Amino acid sequence: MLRRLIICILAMFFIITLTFFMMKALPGGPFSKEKKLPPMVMAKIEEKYRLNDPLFKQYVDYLCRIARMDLGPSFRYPNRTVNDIIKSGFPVSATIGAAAVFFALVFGTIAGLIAGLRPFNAADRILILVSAIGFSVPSFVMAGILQHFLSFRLGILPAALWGSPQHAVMPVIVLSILPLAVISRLIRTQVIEVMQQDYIILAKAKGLSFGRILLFHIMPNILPPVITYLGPLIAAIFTGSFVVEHVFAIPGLGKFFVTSIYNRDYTLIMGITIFYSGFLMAMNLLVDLVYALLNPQVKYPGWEE
Amino acid sequence: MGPILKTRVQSYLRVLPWTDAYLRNGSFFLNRPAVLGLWLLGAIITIVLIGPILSPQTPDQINLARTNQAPNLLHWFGTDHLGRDLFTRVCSGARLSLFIALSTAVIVSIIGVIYGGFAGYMGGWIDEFLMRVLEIIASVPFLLYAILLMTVLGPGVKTLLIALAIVYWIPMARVVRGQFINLKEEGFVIAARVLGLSRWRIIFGHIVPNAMGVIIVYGTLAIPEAIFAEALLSYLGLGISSPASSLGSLVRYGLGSIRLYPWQLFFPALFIILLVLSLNLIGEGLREHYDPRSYRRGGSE
Repeated sequence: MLRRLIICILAMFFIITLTFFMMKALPGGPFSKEKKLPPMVMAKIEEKYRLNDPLFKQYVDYLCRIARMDLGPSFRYPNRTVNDIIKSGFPVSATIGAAAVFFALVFGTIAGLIAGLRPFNAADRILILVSAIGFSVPSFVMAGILQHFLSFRLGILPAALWGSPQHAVMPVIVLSILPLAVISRLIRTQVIEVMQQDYIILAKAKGLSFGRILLFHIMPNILPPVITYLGPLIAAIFTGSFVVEHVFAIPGLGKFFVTSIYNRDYTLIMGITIFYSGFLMAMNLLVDLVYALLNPQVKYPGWEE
Repeated sequence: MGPILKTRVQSYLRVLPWTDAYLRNGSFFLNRPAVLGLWLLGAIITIVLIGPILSPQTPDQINLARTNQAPNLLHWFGTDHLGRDLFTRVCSGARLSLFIALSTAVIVSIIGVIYGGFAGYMGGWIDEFLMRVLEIIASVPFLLYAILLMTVLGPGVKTLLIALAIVYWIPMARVVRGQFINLKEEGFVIAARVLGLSRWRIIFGHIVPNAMGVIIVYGTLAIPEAIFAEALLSYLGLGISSPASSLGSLVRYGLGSIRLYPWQLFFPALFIILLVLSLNLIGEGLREHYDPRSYRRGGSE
C-alpha cells in the first residue's frame, strides 16, 4: 500500500510539473487580446501575477502554494480564485457522476444477470445488441438526440441548465450508457462462468431456493471484477462529464475546464487538471482498498493494474 | 499425414500466429458478428473511397444559392449552411478519421511493442523501473494529456496524432510485456539465446512474431477508440476545425442545426456509429480468436 501511495505522490508531482511547463510554453498569454493593452498596464498586471520572476522561482512558488492547497487566482475571473471555482463546480459534477455510477451499477447488474442466467435466449441477444450500440454511439450524439426529442419535441424535460432534479435526468442517462454496457457484459460473462462451477451444482442439489443461491453463491463471486472496473468507470464518467456539461450547459467542473481552455486561463487550467488528477488517483486508491478488503487473496507487493 | 509428421508441421507453423490460432480455434470467419463487422467496414470504406468519384460534387465548394438543402439527387446527403455538399464532406471526413485512427494504431503498436517488449524481456529492475514510469504516466487521466497538448501545440492532425499516441500506447505496452514474460521462457527463445543471437534479434525475430496475435488484437481495438477520441476532441472544438472536416467536426455542426436540418446530424453520426460498431465487432472477434483465455470463458457469443 505504501508503494502505491509513493507512486501517487510521484505522479502528482509529475503532472504538476508537466502542466506548469506546458502552460509556460504556450505562445500568447491570457492578457494578449486582439486589442493590445498599453505597456504600462501590461507591466502592472505581470507584476501582480508575478509573471516577471525567473521561471524556476515561479515553479517553486507554485509548488509551495499547491502544498498549502492554494491553486491561485484565476486570470479571467478577476475576483475568484481557482479554489472558489472548484468549490462551486465540483459538487455539481460529483452529483451527476455519483448518480451515473449508481445507475450504471444497478441496471448493469440486473441486465447482466438476466442475460447471463439464460445465455443465448431472446433477452440475452437483445442485451448483446443493445450493449453493442451503447459501445458505438458517441456520448455527444446521444446527448444531442435525447435533448432534441425529450425537450424540444416532447417537452418532457428541461433542455439545459441546472437546478431541479429534472435537469439531472438526461445528463445521468447519457453518462451512464457506456459504463452500463460494459458492466452488463462483464456480469454476463461472469455469471455464465460461475453457473458452471461445482459449488452452484452442489447448492442446487442441496435444494436451496434460487434467491438464496443468487444472493449467497452467485453474487459474491461475480462482484470482484466489477469492483476492479470501478476505477476505469470513474475515469470514463469524468471524461463523459466534459461533453455532457458542455451540451446541457451545466455549471460543473468539466464546463469550467473547457471554457478555461478557450479563454487561456492558465491558472484555472492548471488548477483543474491537478485537482482532477488528484481526485481520480484518490478514487483508484480507494477502489483498490475496497477490493483488498473484499478479497483476502489479494496480496499487495507487485500488484498490477 | 502421420500424426508425428503432422505435429512437426504444426510446430513449424506456430511461428505464424494466425496458423497457430487457426489450429486451436478454427477459422476466424466462423465468427458471425466479426464477419458482419468485416462486411460493414468493407462497405463503409468502399462508399468513402468510391463515392466522391461518382458524385459530381466536391467537399469544399461553397454555394450560397443552395444552403441547407434536404437530401436530393444532386446532393445525396443534402447540403450544409454554406451550401457545401454533405455527402462528399462526410466521405472526406470519414477518410480523415480513418486515417488518424489507423495511424494511431500503427504508432501505438510500434511504441508499445518496443517499450513493453524491452521491459518484459529484460525483467528485473529494468522491468520494475519501466513499469513504474508507465504507471505514473497512466495515472493521469487521458483526456487531460490530449487537452494540454491541444492548448500548447494548437489544433490539427499532427497534434491529434501525438495526443492519441500518448494516450493509447500504454495498454499495448502492458499486454506485450505480459506476453514477453511468458514467451521468453519457451524453448525456442532459449535455443536462440544458446545460438548466441543478439538481444534485439531475439526480441524482434523470434518473440514478436509469436506475440503477433495479441498485438493485432489490441491494435485493432485501439482504432475505434481513436475514432471516438478524435470525434470527441473535434466536437469540443479542440481537434479538426473548418475548412477541413472530420466526422467529429461534422457532428458538431450537425448538432447545432438538429431542429431545422436533422440530416446534417444524421449522416455523419450514422457513419461514426457504423464505423465504430464494425471495428468493435472485428476487434472482439479477433480477441476471441487469439486470446484463448477470453475464448474459453465464452466471451460474447
